[in-house]
Amino acid sequence: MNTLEDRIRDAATRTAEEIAPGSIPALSLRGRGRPGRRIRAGLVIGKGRRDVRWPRVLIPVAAAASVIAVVAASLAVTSGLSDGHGAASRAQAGHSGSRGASQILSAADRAALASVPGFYVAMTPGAMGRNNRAQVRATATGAVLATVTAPAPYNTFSWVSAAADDRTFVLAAQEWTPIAPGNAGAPAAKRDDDTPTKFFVLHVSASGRADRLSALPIPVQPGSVWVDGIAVSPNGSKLAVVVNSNRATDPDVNPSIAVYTMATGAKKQWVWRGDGWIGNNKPMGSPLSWMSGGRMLAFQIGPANGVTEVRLLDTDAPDGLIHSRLAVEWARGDVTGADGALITGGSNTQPANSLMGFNTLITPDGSKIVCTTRGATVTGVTEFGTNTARAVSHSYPQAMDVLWTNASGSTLIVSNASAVGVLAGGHFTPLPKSSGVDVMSAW
Amino acid sequence: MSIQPEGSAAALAAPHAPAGSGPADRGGAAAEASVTALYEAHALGLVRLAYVMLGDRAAAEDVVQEAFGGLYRRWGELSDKERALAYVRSSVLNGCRSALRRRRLQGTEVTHQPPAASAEAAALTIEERREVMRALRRLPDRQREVLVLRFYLDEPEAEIARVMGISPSTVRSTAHRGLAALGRLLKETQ
Repeated sequence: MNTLEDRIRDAATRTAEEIAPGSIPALSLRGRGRPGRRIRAGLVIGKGRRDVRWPRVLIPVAAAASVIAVVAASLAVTSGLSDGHGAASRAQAGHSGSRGASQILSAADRAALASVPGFYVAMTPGAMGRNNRAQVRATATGAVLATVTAPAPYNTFSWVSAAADDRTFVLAAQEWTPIAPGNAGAPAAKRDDDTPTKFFVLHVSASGRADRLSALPIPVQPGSVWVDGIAVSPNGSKLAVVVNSNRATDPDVNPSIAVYTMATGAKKQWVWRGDGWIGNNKPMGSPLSWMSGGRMLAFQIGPANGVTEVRLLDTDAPDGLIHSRLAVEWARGDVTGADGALITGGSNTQPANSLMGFNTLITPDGSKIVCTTRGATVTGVTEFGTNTARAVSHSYPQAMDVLWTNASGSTLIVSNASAVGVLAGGHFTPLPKSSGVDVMSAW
Repeated sequence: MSIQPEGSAAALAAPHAPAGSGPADRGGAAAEASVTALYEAHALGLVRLAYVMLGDRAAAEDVVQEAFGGLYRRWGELSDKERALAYVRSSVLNGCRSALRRRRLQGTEVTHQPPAASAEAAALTIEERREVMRALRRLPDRQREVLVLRFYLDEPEAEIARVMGISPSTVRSTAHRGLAALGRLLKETQ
């Protein structure tokens, strides 16, 4: 069993096979009413037309299917091709937005869009979930300003993180080999979790022109470990990387956080000696985030017992992770919808919701942890005070994840079920063309 | 070799399925015969699908019986008999959703128990599978359904999107989220 997908296949198939052929009871239609009448070649007819419909779940959704243009060049940055407007519109594609956008947005919406970083990088999933391309996009218009692919031998992006300058993005790339359905085994070993990870930096100019991807002088992370989160420091000088054991190959590796100097590759590392893990298993979201100043790092940790915590690490302090400060903690079950318990100082102090999204972001001013929660009391965006670990605000029940926060948490970029948008003062302004954008993106 | 579990779209499109045979206008007897034939051809795959979702054989059989009962009641309304199998499969998924919801409201949790005969021979493997299935059933409905349809039935994204009434991009993102959540749940138990 090399991958989680294989384990699902195996477990589900073996479980299903417990139902033996020939053991199913006969169908009993007695007492189930009579079948309806009236049918003629696709038309419902009868005594007055009745609006007979298939269940909603059967309505084809072909119109919703997105077609992603194929951009073939490896290590290529195809600036300005996807939106078809060329350099002139690229120069206007940042905060101000295009003329087209201004025609359909209210002044409040335009102000909201102007209050967040002008560019973001979003991964575009290919076949079987492979993130084979990353797009640099204008926040205000959704225009695709550049498309990048990972240089050989890497062919998928697994993580992306942005500095606070809105110009510096770091992407992690790995090898990825698709396998046909049912073909587990040797080919499946060469998947995202089991191949070396290389880090690249991408600089974007003020007009949205993207440089070529440049390899960082940070050692390639071997396939024997899982990279479970990255975060670029606000000034773009350091990269925090979470590494966990790849249980299949090296179960003795302890979870750790390393902070690399991006210019030199110099490394400072903290090792977690206890049980559990740090970050997210499959590459997903932002389990790490920095406070302004680039000293304090917030990270997700699951120190066993089914608890998910967000802790703070002082990267200038000599002591290890064990002394990192507990900021927020959820007890058990962050995906079932069951309530957890908010814990302060080791004791339950108030009911709280369970963590729903993947991201737990510390506001740059360090005052709050911003995330989405779900439960009987409140669902949506929840902000926790880092000093008290108490929830200080709830808003926008439709939110699925928080993708970016301003200094104090008063303006956020959040995702809902269909789009990504700016959330400020309780008002959600969807970003243009953001359907399909998810936590695999960075501002 | 590509494995095609029973209950998948390809398996459901068996040549002997009565879809399109047009018996409805001949009354209830013809409908009953058609629905029964459909059941006989595909009940195994559908009960297995429901069993994967629910972990409870009796409940799985009930869900499938109900789905075919619903198909029988609506047989005459179906404008396209070719879609009867898709309809009944969606009904099975909906039935599983309802059963899980009732179970949560009642506060009952079914622990899947594998057959005793095989447990001793491969206890560790079975325990690992049980962990995966337990974790799978802790996922939100949509994530669980996407993962089962994707990795158990090997359905393509477009088909999953059609059956679940969501967009292909939502299928992708839900699968991503489901896998990540499942991974976290499994780590919790290790």
